[in-house]
Parts: sequence; structure tokens; C-alpha cells
Amino acid sequence: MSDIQHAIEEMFSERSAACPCCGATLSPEMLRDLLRQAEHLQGEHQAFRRLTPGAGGMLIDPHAHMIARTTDDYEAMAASGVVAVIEPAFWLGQARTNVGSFVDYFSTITGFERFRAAQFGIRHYCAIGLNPKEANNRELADAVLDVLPRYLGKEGVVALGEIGYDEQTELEDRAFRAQIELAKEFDLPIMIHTPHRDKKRGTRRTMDTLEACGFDPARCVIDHNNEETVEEVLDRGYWCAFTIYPSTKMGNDRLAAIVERYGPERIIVDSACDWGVSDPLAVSKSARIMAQHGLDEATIRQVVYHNALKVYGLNGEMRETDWLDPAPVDQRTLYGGNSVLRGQAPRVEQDNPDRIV
Amino acid sequence: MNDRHRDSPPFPPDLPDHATASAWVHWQASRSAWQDLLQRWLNARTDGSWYARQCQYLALPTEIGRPMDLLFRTIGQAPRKLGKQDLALNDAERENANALQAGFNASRWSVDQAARVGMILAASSRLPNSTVFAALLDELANHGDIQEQIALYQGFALYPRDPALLRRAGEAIRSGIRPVFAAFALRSPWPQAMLTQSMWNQMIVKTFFLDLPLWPVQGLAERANENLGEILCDLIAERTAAGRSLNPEIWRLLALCPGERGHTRLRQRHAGSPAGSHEMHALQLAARESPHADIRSLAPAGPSGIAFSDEWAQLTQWQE
Repeated sequence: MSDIQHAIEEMFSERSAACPCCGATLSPEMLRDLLRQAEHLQGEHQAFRRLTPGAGGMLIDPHAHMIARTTDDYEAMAASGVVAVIEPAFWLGQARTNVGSFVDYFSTITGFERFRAAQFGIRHYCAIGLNPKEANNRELADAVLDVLPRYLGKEGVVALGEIGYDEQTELEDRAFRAQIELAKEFDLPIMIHTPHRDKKRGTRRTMDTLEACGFDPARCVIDHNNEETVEEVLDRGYWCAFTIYPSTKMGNDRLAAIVERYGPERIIVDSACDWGVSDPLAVSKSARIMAQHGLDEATIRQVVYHNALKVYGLNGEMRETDWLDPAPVDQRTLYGGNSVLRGQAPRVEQDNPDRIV
Repeated sequence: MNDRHRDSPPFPPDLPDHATASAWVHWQASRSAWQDLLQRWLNARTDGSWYARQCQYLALPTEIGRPMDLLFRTIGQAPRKLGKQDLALNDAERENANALQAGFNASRWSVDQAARVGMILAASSRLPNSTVFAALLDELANHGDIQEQIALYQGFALYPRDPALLRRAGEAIRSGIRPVFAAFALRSPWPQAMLTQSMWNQMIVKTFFLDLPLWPVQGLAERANENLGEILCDLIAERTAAGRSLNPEIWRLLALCPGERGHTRLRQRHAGSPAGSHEMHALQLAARESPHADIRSLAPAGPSGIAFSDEWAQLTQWQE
């Protein structure tokens, strides 16, 4: 029995207590349960802390729709150790009706959002592409495919994505194949969105198409995997990403079990946080839970940092030096002289709420 | 429309059409000199041959495929091909630049930024007039990522001084992206030469809201006006009521602008500031530069021998 448990036993024994926040009665069982939870949390904290020395506990969230998130999220992500995010182009929940909406969206995720992230010391990269849902609007899809080349060569564009299948229609297939060709032309890795419905067969078909088009699996991340898809994706040589959803689909514990089983090679974890129920701290929580499962530091680091850096760094647009030792011009324009290495706290000026006017 | 006629001379100068056309021809002549200058800078710092080749393609009157796509591609690739290191101009190069275009100051440019501006200049060689050039800038800015926008607005220092570009300039002033705003507003001769009075005043006031230093803005004395003084007096009152601090360079503007309200405010502040304080130093520095004798009399006699901008740079802690 721990010291705290002794203290609790002495204070309360079998008596009930009033909850300090709501006044409700807390029975001895409830108190013991609360205590168990608190110790559990503390254990997680300690396990996580063992991770942080050395490389500074840096994390990358390689799939985050930050335009849908608040500045509180940015602050929390920075505090949790996130040094870089990748924002893949996707749909917005509401279908777009004209190509101008796409142009403004692409410009936002290469422009204003990069500035917003920079204010919190987070490096923002993106993937540009036409998502499979909106590929089903043929006229719109053609217009978007026409403007893509204007964006694919831009600074900070680390992949073509997220593309693939949603309902696996002919029009989706057409847009997918056209974009695989663009990825080859622009020397970009691909980020794949696997369908949520008919996932297993959809994922297999995605890989079949990529291979039929001659795309190198080593330059491609298949995202939103689960226990049913992981084996084939890894066997065929792809990078295998897991999106942690708070309630459904894929949880932190299941991810830890997968890493235990398959090892850290080519496995990536992301939050895919967006406007839906999602958790921008999913990567750091996954790191903590993997530590609780007893996975070693090197393994965890590979899954929450190094793997993403390796595959999304393939076209040279995302480098560790971007946050460890940024170019003077980037420091001057975007990061106010902050770099992770110097240990300066990157933060929005607390005393001037007018910075975004 | 009305407020700009309170300036003397009017900004921008009202030019007849034929004068605008001849201004474009004149600008084209200077453009090639600036392009040569940029090419020399890049040759001295990086492999300039890729850049030179791209500029040649961009200048061709008819390219294969869509000409804008080529421009987007080369501008996008510039940092990857040439690097992002600072230009770090030497004194001779700085003087050379200023001789070619008064006020042109590339002291904080990087290699890729110089290349991007050079590419815009190269692509403009085949354009017929400033209106089409403004449309090209619109297209680039609307599809530009953040660093491309920064380079595009830095380039204003070398763009034609034509009212056709005012709309694009207005977008820079409206931008909430601090470095984009700064790229246009700081260290450039274009704003003071071209902005209408209301645009100028918005730009100046916004430097305070964005926590940017004021001294790198060119033409503060020349463009000082009563309206600006009024807006700044209100800003001082607003910040004082909220218990918030302000960049002391605001006193410099009040000393430069005509207007009794601002001058009274400045005199009151001067009377209430302790000798030797940071604020007193700012107030005296402001007074010394004032064109108004009663304000100038607040400053201790004797020349400082240092340029005003250097003193303000030392005095203000505001970082770009």
C-alpha cells in the first residue's frame, strides 16, 4: 500500500466524504477507485517522462487538418512535443461547388495556416491533392486536376494526398490514376486515404492500382489502417499509418498491440484531427500508452517521429534542421528567431492579442 | 478620392494614359538593369545558371504549354534549386542597388527571394503594360504560398510606380500575415511614392497593431498628415485606457504630423516623463526631427551625428 493510500485509509477508513466540487457523497469504494485512477495516471506520466530526455521528446503529427482546429489545440500540441504537422488536402464536410474554393483552400494550407502554426513554433507542411469524395464531381474534378500543378512544386509540399478511394467508383479511379502520374512527374511521395466502408478490399484495390501505375510502395503511406489491413500493407512494402480515433475505429491500446506484434518498421501514428470528434494530442497519448505497454524508447520514437520524417522527407521539403536549426530567412519571417535547439519558448506574444488583425 | 487631394502633391500622381504608357516603357528599360543586378548577386552566391535559364524561358514571347504554369513551377522550385541562405550583400553591392533605385534595400533578402523577384521581372518583359503586370501579380499572389507572397511583396521596391498596382498593394496592407505585411511595408520606396493617404495611414497604424518597428518604413516625414495624427491620438487613448503599452515610435509620428491635438499630447507626455527615462529619450528623439518649431524646442540642442533610423533601431525593442 502506498503512502497516499495509507493516508486516505487513516482519514476516511470506512466513512464517506463530500466531493469538493459538487458536494455529492463519495463512498469509500468511489474514493479508492479515484485513487487507483490517479495512480494509474501518475504511472503513465512517469513512463512518458522516461521518453523525453535525449531528443527532447519531439513528435510529428503527419496527418492533421489544422484549419479546423483552434489556437488552444496548437498550444496543447506544442506543449505535448509536436514540432511539425502535415496537413493533407481533403474535403471540408461540405462539398465544394467550384474550383475557386479549391484554389483558396490550397492557398490557405500553404499560406495562412503555415503562418498560424509558426506562431506556436510548429512547422507546418502539407499534402496537396483532390480527395476521392469530390472526385465524383467530374467537371469539378477536371478543373481541380488542372490547377494541381501550380501547387505541387511549392515549398513545404511533402506529398500528393490524401488520395485514393471512398466509394470506389469509376470517377474516383480516374482521378486517383491521374494523380499518381502527377506524383511521379513532381517526384512526390503519396499519402493514401483508405475507404472507411469496404476497407479491406478497398485498401487492396488501392495498392493494386498504385502498382499497376508503377508507383514505388516505398514512397507511399497508406493511412487509416486497422488490424485487418496492416499485414498486407506491410508485406507489400508500404508505409503503414494508423489514425487514432477517440471512440471508434482505432484506439491507442490497439495501436500499441500492433506495434508489439509487428515492430516499429514503417509504422506511423497520426491524429487526423479535423472538424469531427478527434484528438489533436493523439500522437503524444499514443507514445505514452506504448511506453506503458513496455515498448522501448527507440521503438516508440520511430513510430511517433522518425518514420514520418523519413517518408515525408523524401522530396527534401521537410528536414529535421527546419526546427532544429532553421534557415535565417525562415527564422526572420516566420519563427521570430525561435528554434527547438535553442530551447526558446515559441509562443504568440502574450501581451499583444492584436497580432492577427 | 477626396482625402488624397489633401496631400500635396497628390498620391498617386494622376497621370494621363499616354504618360502611363511611356512610364511602362521607361520601367522596362530599368527592369533589365535590375535583372542584371540580381543575376550578378546570385552568380556570386550560388549556381546562377539554372536561374539564368529559367529567366530566359520566362521571357520567351510564346512558350509551349501554359505560360503561367512555368512561372508557378520555377518560382516554387527556387529555394530547392538555389538554397535559402541570406544574400548578405556587401557595402558596394548595397550602394550599387541604391544607386539603381533610390530606397531599394535588399539587406534582409535571401537568395531564393532575390531569384523569385527576378523571375517576376523576367516574366514581365513580354507584357504590354502595367495593367497586365498587375494581373500577373494577382494571379501569383492568389495562388502563392506564404514565402512566395513575401517575395512578391518585397519586389514592389522594383515594380512600376503605377496606380494599376494599388489594388494588389491594398491586399498586402490588409493581410493578417505579419511577415507578408512587413514584406510590403518595410524597407521599400514604393508605399511612400504610391499609396493614397488613407492607405498610407492604415498601413502606418497597422504596424503598431502587428508589433512591427516603424523606423524601417520609408517616407515617414514626407507622408505625415493631420489625419494620421488624429488616428494615432485615438490609438494612444485607447491603449492608455486598456493599460497597455505602445511602441514609443508613435511619438515620432506625432512630432512629424501637423495637428494641435497630437502636439499637445506630446508636450504633456514630455512634461510628465522623468528625465533619463526610456520614454524621455524617445520623446526627445521625436522632437528633434519635428518640422514644427514648438515641438522641436522640446529637444535638447546639439546635433546627434547619428541617423534617426539608427537611433530608433537602438531605442525600440520591437523585432520584425
